[in-house]
Amino acid sequence: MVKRSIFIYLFLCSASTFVYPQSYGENSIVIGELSGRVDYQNVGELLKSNFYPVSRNTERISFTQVKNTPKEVVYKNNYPPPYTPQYIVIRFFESEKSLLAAIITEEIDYSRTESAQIADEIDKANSAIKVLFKIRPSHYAKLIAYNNNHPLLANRNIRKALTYAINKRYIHKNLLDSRANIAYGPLDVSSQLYIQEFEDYKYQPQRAMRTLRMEGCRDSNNDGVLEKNNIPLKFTLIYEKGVLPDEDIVRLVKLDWNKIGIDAAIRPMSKMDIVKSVNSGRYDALLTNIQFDDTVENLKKHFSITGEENIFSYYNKTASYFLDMAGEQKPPTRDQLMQGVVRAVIKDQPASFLFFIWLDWYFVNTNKFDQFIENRKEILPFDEWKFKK
Amino acid sequence: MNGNSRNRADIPRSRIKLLNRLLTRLLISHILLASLPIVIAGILLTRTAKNSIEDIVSHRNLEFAKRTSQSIANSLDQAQKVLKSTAENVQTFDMRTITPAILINNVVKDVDIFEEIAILNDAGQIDISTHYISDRDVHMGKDFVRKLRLGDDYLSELQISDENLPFIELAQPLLFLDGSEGILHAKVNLKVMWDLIDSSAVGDQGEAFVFDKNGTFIAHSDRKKIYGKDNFNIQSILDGIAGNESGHKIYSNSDGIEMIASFAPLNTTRWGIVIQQPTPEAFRPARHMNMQIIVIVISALLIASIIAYIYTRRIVEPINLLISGIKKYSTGNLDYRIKPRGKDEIATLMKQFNTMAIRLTAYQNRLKRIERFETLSKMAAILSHEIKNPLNAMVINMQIQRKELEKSAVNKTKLLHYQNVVTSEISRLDKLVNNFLLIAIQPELKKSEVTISRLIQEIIEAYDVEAEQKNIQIIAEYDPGSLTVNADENRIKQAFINIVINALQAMTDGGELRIKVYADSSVTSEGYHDLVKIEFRDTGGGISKESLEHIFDFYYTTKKDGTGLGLAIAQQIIDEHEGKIEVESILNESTIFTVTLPLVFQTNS
Repeated sequence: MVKRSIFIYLFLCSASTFVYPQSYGENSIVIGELSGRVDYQNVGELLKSNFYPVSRNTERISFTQVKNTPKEVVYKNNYPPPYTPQYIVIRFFESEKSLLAAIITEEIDYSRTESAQIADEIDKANSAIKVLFKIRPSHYAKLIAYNNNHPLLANRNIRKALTYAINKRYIHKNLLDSRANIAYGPLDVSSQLYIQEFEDYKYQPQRAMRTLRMEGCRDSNNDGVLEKNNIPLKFTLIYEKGVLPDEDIVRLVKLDWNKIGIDAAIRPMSKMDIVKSVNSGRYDALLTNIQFDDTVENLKKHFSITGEENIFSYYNKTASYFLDMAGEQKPPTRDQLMQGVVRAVIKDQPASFLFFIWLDWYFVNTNKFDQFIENRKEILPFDEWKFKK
Repeated sequence: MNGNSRNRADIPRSRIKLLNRLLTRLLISHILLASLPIVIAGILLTRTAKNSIEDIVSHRNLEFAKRTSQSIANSLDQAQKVLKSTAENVQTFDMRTITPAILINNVVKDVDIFEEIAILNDAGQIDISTHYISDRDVHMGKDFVRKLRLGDDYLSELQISDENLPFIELAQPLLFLDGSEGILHAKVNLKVMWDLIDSSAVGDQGEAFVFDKNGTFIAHSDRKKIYGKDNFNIQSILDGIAGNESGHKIYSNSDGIEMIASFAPLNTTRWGIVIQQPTPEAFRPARHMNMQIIVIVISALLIASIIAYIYTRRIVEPINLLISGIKKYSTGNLDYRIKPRGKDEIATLMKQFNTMAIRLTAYQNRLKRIERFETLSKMAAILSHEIKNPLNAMVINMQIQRKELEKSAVNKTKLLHYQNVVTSEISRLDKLVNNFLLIAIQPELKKSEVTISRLIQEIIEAYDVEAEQKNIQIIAEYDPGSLTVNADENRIKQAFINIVINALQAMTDGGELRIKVYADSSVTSEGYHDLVKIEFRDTGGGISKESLEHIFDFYYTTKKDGTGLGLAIAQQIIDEHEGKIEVESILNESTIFTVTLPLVFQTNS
């Protein structure tokens, strides 16, 4: 009987631990995050870089990790009270819909989304959750990056055909509700390097099919999917798991590609798996977001073969040369060289540049905090938030 | 004096209790008569309004619930039809081609209700899906395929996704051209149901929701309740839904707020839809209507009361006037007449009163004359007797004088003494005659409003010196306020003076005269009378019982030099003023004369 009681007690304890997330006291901020959007192993770096608005004073950001699991990462403030927050808890969710439930039930204090649908739902469901928006910086591009080392995707014309096949305007109108600008290259219209030629990559399915035929792609077995050199044009399009607009975008992109005889398996992945796949070069196409800017360093980082964030494995001899040269030049020569790089990138289409999404939605649980914004819209750093007693 | 010219303050009603007044009684009866139908109509109206609004609200909400239920059922039905149509198309395609994938992706893209569509092979494993197919994806199994092969459409129980969101599954059997079989399986999200529920919430605080067979919310206008996996736990409604019934019920929720809930089952499922509203909000129109009815009823009552008051007053005022007239008449104002108003019974009564007053006055005057004649006759008899004595004395003294004069030696001293006696008797005769004249030739009363306290005070001041010389203290006590009578001031003053003189003369060894003036009342068969009483209490040793019986008789006196007329005159004056004088005495102690006169009015102090 006693053994049975102990067993039941232990079972209940373990069950409650499993069901209810651990609490880190009143002076903690719980951030809701998507496992597809952020790698839980990389949270420390994100805190330090103020990816989450921890403090104005970066020297003040000093935390010790006390928990690190795929579901939850917890950092304790090295500064004792009254410094707040004492804990920053990042809780990971599989999808924006499950994150949405946690926000509405106030398990989460702070989160963000790209999806107006989610923001609208939260605004409607719980008035205690303050919904704020923030304008993203320029050149924050959503794109489908191609693995330029893939046997078929190494072909520039096939990549171009993939871009021609995507009906960006339809996606823009039906999914993003004009909260984004259509992208034709890595830089948006605000850049001095922007050139009109970018707009050549409009939705042209006939041109896509024509391009593929010219490249020798044929549906020899009549399964509706083209082959080139007996290799079917079937790709896996991976995307950040659970991110709501991305789930819809990949489905529409898949349909667009299907129409020109290209099959795509869409596969959601956690950020950690995406990073692994990209680093190992074992991927076909990836829907992701990249922050570009019109500096030599940035372009080099993404488009130079030696660039540390050249996820495309892109190489263009001329572009590399220009990038090397541009670093040593002054305007206007440098600008002309950089423009040459951008032109090369657009021509080569190492990625299908889709949109510049310019709006993010943020959520704060006002039942827990008194003061978290300034000037009515700017979110204050976490260490300035006032906790409600 | 004319009745109409009198002030309303003259109307004698202050002494009648409020509830006993005719005005109050008539007013109450009028108001009650007017109010009764108004109040009954008001109650009926408020009840009808409440019942009607309750009925309207519950039926409206029930209609909403049924319609929403029908819309949700239609959506699910539509989804099944779309899936059936998609299945018919899919099975005509070659499964080795990309076309079925394009078809199902297009369906998911264009029909919002579909979250995911998959084509399963005859083993129940997913061949094609609009979503990523991972190794861990559960396949439906051969039994499921076999079951569907029987031709039934499949609609699953409600399920909750990993994202805590409810969904259901639909499936259609597939028979391909090559004879192979499969299943078209779809996951239907309930967002469409949420949207319908959102649009079904009524009022500002109304809620609409759908719950599954366990009572768990699967759609709710308050999303927190879905994501929090809350339960609806009103057993009677759950039982109603389980019995496929619809209806409405009023209950108190966990916050103690009374809700009116209309519920209906969702066909083809065991879910229930409820549209509810807090009763304070739902029945607000009824309350507004009730308030309006109450305001109208109160206004009607007020108007009825005002009309009743005016009308009652019109009835009562002549009666009050009549009462006032009678009272004035009864207090001695025999000339008072009422001017009749209108042609009703009260006007007739007023005329009758006037006729009666005229006759009564005439009759009284005649009575007075007779009484006076009798008094004078009596007085004449007494006077003749009284005159005899001095005349006898005079005759005797005159005869003695004559005899004395006939003597040779006239004693002048004696003669002078007899002359003095004669002169004194003549003087006594003169006094007797004067007093007789005082009574016999009665001056006409000149009545006016006289304040008793002032009159008494004047008498006290006039006799104060004399009282002091006799070592008598005069003390006056007055009731608060001035008591006023209708009297001939000089005559009534004379009466009081006579009483005061009598008292002063009685206290030969000094003493105390206490004069007390106070209001009183009496009720007789003729009605209620306001009175003023003037009490004269002296410590003059009292009066014997025998003397008390004659104290007001003419020429009765116990004093050596008394005329026996002072108190008789006082009584006569008091009688003339419709008053009375009483005396009580304790021998060797005190005597009290109490004068009672009709009070005209008493002013506040």
